[in-house]
Amino acid sequence: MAVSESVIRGFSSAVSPLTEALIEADSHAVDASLRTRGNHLPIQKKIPLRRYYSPEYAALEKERLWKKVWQFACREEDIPNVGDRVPYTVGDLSFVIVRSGPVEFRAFYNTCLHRGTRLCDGPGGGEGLRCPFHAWEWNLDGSLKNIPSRWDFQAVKSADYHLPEVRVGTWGGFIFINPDPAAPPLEPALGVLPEFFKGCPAEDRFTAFHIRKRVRANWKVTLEAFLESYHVVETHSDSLAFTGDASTQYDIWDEGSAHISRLITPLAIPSPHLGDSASATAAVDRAFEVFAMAMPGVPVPKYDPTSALSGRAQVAEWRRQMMGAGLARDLSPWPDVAMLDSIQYFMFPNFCPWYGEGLPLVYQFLPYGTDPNESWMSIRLTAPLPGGGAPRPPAAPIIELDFDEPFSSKPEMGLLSLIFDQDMSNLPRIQSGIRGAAPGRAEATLGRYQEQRIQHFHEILEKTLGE
Amino acid sequence: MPFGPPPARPPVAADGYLDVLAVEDLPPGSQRSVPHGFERVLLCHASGSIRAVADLCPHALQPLAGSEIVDGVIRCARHGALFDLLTGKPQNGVTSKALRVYPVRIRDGRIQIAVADPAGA
Repeated sequence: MAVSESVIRGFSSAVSPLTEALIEADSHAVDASLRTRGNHLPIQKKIPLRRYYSPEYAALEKERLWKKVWQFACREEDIPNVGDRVPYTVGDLSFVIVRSGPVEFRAFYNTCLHRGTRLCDGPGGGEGLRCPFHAWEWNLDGSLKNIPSRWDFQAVKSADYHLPEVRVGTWGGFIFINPDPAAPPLEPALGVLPEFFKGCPAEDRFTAFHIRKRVRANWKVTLEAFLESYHVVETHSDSLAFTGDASTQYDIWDEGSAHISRLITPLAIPSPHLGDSASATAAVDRAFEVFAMAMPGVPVPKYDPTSALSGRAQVAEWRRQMMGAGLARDLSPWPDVAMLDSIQYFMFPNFCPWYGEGLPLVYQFLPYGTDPNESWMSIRLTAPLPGGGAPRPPAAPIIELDFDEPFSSKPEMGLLSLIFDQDMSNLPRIQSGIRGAAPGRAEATLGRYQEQRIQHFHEILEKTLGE
Repeated sequence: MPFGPPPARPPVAADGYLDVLAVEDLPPGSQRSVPHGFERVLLCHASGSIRAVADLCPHALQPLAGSEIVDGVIRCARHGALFDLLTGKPQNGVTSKALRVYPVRIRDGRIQIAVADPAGA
């Protein structure tokens, strides 16, 4: 549907304008991608709750979604050397992603052709893929390398025992797979992403921190908790003083083959929920404090009323200088919006790359095991590659957090650990509430503007599953 | 990027107490939320006692500041969880998790709270 319906696109206050107005007021030139608005408004309808817990629905997702679509698996830097491999596990499907050449990647079903053992349980390396049960082994290109007691397998023709391979595509250092041999290539599924990220090339970044959390909620419940800023007012009430939650901008680009959406949540501005008399100065001071938390020992500036710059521009300029010096990179062309705000893209079905330096994260959402009530959320923090000819830093290893382990058990995450723990405290409650919904009312009602990305996700999910 | 180690905290006395506020800045019936690294501590002057608890309800991890206190029990303004201010124990079923409490002492007109880990770490 074209964007023609009259939709109220966010809520502002006297001291907290809509994101579009903040972008207009930016102290620097803003990349055209951030000024471009979406081209799609999903049809409004309620979401049946059974799709969040039904084993039949999860089975349908496995067959028609996870076996059929391009999906984000890992980053190239996770497997930096030839022979390095990582598993990519989605529900009870599992694939092993291998760097099979200096700039060549392959993915195989992660199952031994002998008796079905999983070949790769975690990140590793080596010249071959070798089963831990009887040492059947494959070359990095998937060809059969060795079968111990080969004499006992006279009927096995090596050519028939190539590891079943799935398709691989890359963009910006991200590796995607698609198990469907008949699927179109990756590029059309990326939609606006390559064009929109030209100003913030993801290939010039590396994973500085990587954590993966097991969650007692369906993977879609977990995903959807991160597609809107509507929940900030209740779930992150302590962030309202410096977060433009209700003024957040949402956009969707749907090209038929590509399903991309975006939110831009401005920071260093009070929540419009706090009213017209909220303190813009306090919002700026709090933003200085929050961003300074990553730099212990650095003096925390305060809003300077004598400056010609707006409060947001002051915080952005301070960040350009501090981060530019720390990274040996020139950040002077970056607009305020890219230095401060949360700019999160979503590509159906499981991939959220963030844009800019405000909050440079990458999310991945996956079903966990065979229980539709459980999921996996992976969070990466990325940083620009250091300038000055410094070598590419290694990707951070994955930190695993079990169901009951809070993010606050990882003090290096700083303030973000509280924010993620606040989100995580909701998720099992949502899952159990969904399962106990009243007959006849077992459906979700979505906000027309703020939750449109969730509506869009389900629109595409329904089409993909043929529901 | 809001990642990084916690900010430097003010020096803690050898016995684990941290000086946080003057008693006169916490009149009877009042509350004050003070930063402690990434966390916040809620100081409450209620029923003739000064108590210190985490300014973070363990139910939904929201600030407790401003919540009503009756007979030494604080009621989280958001979802109604009740906690004994002295022990931190939950007083109803909203959550089974306890509110963190900090031992308090008064020295020279100053409120001091014990923040050191019991293990001494």
